[in-house]
Amino acid sequence: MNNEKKLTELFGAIEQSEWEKAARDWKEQQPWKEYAQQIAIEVLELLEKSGMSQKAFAEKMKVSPQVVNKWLKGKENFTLETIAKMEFVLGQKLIQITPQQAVPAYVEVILSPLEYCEGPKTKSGQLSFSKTQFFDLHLPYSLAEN
Amino acid sequence: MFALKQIVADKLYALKTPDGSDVFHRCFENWQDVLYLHDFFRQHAYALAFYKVDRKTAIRQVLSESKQFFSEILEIINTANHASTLDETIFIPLHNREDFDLPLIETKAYGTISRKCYLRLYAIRLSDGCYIVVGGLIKTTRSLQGGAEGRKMLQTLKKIASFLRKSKFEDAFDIGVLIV
Repeated sequence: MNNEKKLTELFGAIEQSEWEKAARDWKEQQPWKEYAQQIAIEVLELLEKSGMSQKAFAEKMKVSPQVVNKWLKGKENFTLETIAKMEFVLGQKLIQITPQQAVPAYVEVILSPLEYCEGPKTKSGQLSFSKTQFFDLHLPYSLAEN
Repeated sequence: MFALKQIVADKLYALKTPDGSDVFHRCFENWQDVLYLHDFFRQHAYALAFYKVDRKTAIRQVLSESKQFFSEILEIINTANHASTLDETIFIPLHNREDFDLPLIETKAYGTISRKCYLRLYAIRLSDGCYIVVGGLIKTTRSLQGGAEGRKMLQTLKKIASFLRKSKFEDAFDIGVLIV
């Protein structure tokens, strides 16, 4: 008797998990999701340091708290427009392209306030960081192909 | 009592959760969820001292570890005719003194081969390369018994193993072993 039959006798009908499909989709989306996750980490940190609630952030971004929740989970394929708006609201650059590194595609995720963007200051106005980190996110395609 | 969901027939099953998902899928979702991890490490700030990292680093490391871990599982379960590979590469006996010759043993899987890795999955081994995942956690204490979540995990493992033994689950496989 195979496991499946025996398990069905003991546990009742066994439904199919959605994991495999979710994992396949995740695998396909991984290149951009890694960016989204890095941005979410930075935004969460900036919100906490500035004392801005997720609700207040949603209001300033003119989106619902549910949309912000999805952003902060690192599951949103952000548009450049959204990123620029987040930078404006948070008063902090989130990404920066380094043109020196054309192949493979290379993006700096800025963890320190190298450059404040024009916009409102955060509530505390006291963002202070000490170092910058860089992440090579290894895109599966090359900018040179475009 | 308990219900199951099938990840891959005759290879991987997981306990169903009250919301209709399963513990394996839930671990996957949580360990790839930045907001969940941010809240987790805020509530378990002592874990950061254990790993000697700051919160942002811990979140990045869990994301990276879970990516590697689930990619590996995805690859293994889709490899045809390699029923034992989950035994060899993912799950190991929970207790060092046990081995895979024992029926229905409790097993664990590490997020990476590093001893200082964050992620653990716990499962009951049904037969060669076939498991029921009972749960998973982000390690925050030195031993599994050291935290409430770990102790609860141990209890669930024992409960499922005991239920399977009482139901004589292993008998179907023992006959095969005796003939051989």
